[in-house]
Amino acid sequence: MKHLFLAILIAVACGTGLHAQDVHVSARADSNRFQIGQWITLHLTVDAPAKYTVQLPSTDDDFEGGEFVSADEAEIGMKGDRREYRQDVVATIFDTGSIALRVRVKYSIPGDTASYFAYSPSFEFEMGTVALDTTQAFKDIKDVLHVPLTIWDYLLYAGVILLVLLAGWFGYRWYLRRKNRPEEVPEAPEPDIPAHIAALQALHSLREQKLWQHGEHKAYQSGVTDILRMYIERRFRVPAMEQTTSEIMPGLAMLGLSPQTVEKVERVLKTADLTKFAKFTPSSLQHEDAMNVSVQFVESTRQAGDLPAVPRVSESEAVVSSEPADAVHDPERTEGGLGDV
Amino acid sequence: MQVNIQEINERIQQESAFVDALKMEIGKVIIGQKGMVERLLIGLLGDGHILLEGVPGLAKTTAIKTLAASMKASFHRIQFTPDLLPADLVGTMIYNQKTGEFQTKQGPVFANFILADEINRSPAKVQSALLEAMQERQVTIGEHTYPLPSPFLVMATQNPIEQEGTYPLPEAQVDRFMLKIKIDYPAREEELAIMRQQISQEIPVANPVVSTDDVLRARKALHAVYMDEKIERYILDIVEATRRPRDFKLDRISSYIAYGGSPRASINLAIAGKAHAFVNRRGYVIPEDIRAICFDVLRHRVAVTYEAEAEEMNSEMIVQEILDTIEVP
Repeated sequence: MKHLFLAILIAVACGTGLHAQDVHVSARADSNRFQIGQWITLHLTVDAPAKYTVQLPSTDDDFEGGEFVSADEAEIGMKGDRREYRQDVVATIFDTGSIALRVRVKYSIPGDTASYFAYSPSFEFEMGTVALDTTQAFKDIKDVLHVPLTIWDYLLYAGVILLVLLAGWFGYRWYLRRKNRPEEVPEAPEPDIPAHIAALQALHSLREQKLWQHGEHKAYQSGVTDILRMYIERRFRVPAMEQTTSEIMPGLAMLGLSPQTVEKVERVLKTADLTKFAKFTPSSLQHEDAMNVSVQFVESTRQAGDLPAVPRVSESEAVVSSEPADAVHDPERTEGGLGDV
Repeated sequence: MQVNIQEINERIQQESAFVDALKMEIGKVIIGQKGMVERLLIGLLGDGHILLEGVPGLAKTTAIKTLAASMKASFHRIQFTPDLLPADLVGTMIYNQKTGEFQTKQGPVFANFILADEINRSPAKVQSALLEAMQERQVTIGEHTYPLPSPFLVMATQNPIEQEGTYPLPEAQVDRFMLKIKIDYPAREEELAIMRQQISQEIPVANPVVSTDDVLRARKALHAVYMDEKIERYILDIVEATRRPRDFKLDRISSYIAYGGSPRASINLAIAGKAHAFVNRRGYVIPEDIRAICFDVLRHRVAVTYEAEAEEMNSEMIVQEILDTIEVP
């Protein structure tokens, strides 16, 4: 058993060694000093039995330490039962310093499916670098190529120029028209009629319409309360138009008005609510009371100012006063205080 | 059509006489929560259903239980859970071995008053079963359709906290509730009274003071409550403002509303307004009635946008803004 194992080991060792000794690869270079990336021509000679199939170096893998560039046509000569291949191959090395290079040749033996490799002896190259002058500016390798202009290019340029001229011409015309246009005079804002005058005028106008006398009780009561609520909103800044009677009353009571005044206004608003929402028909006395209470409330709570006294609505038409608008919303300036109605 | 308001007013005064007795009886058991009790009556008279939102322990169950007891009506409480099935709610067919036939077993939905506790804890199919019963007022089991008792009022509750593992009601189904009431903690003095009542030896019990027939008669009388055209237009203005706020100079809230109230909102606002007038023993509706009930009718019908949520605006603030802007007739 021990002898058998030894015999197999010797056979394997000898078998592989025999193939390697059969194929001889040698290479020679003209120099051993090159610049980085410079092409290195290697004169390759391969001596192999004629029956072997030899594949000369043709890829980067066939150069250990270098890269394949190109190869010339191989010259093949016969020496008895052996064949000699001669070929110049070009390789390069992209590295600097002392670099070892070795060439590999692939071959196969008839009747054997395996591929074998033979290597040239490795030899060293001294690869130098290129000195760069970093003080010099970058420059193009080639000048810019000038393409000759065609008719279409000329047409395009002409079109753009035409458009610019047209835009300029229209702009100039617009400018002239604008320059010659007479200046617009802003309309003077309508003078803000003081709250009490607006209310008294509206009440007077409502009375003149004689609505309840013609059976339009609801329209009359709606009119009176709308005027009253609008007056309260403008005069006391209470949002009465967006509030119900029960919401308006606490707001009025907090303004320092006398309880009698608040009570009378509440009576008017509640009567109007009944008329508006419950088909209640007020008596002529109640209609008159609504008007009188409203007029007295407006007159007694109106703002003070340099206006003349407003005539009674029932006696003559109300006169628009010249009271300044800014006095309208000043609750402090009240003529006669917030007395009873 | 000629309307005799005086006659209507007298009739309403007569028909609504039981309201005070009912309120007093409920008040014996429930201290405070007057708003909730009034809304319960409005829902009952308006033939609607109520969605209630509030933390646990605010007398929600007690309120509806007491209402049922005060009317000698049947009451069932259904706790909605994730494993509840529609059959657990409406009933099912059971095989009778003695007779060899299937017989109907009616579910807890067959009662005058239903408390659907934590309705959002059950999946959509169970919610749909209840909401269908609420809408149709009848339930089909097997091949037979059974009418639900009248009056039929569902009070569903939702817990505003603990939203994990819940099935929020879709907007279309929330719309079926006439009112959505939000209840808060009682006032300090009220809570003191509640505490004293609960630790005393005799806890008061509500006695029947009204019959279901009284309620059914009151429902008929409710239709007679007069609503002027001005009020009708005011309702339309409010609901339309939730849909097209720009038309009502409400540009500020325009981007906060995803969608506004449906026509069901207008209808329910009108019915609830009438019921509010009835509960207050009036034969006609005034703007105060509409404003009082407006939040409860619209808060679940106005959906807010993400922008509104980012600005910490909710539907109630939007309704408030609308009420503050639209002129009262």
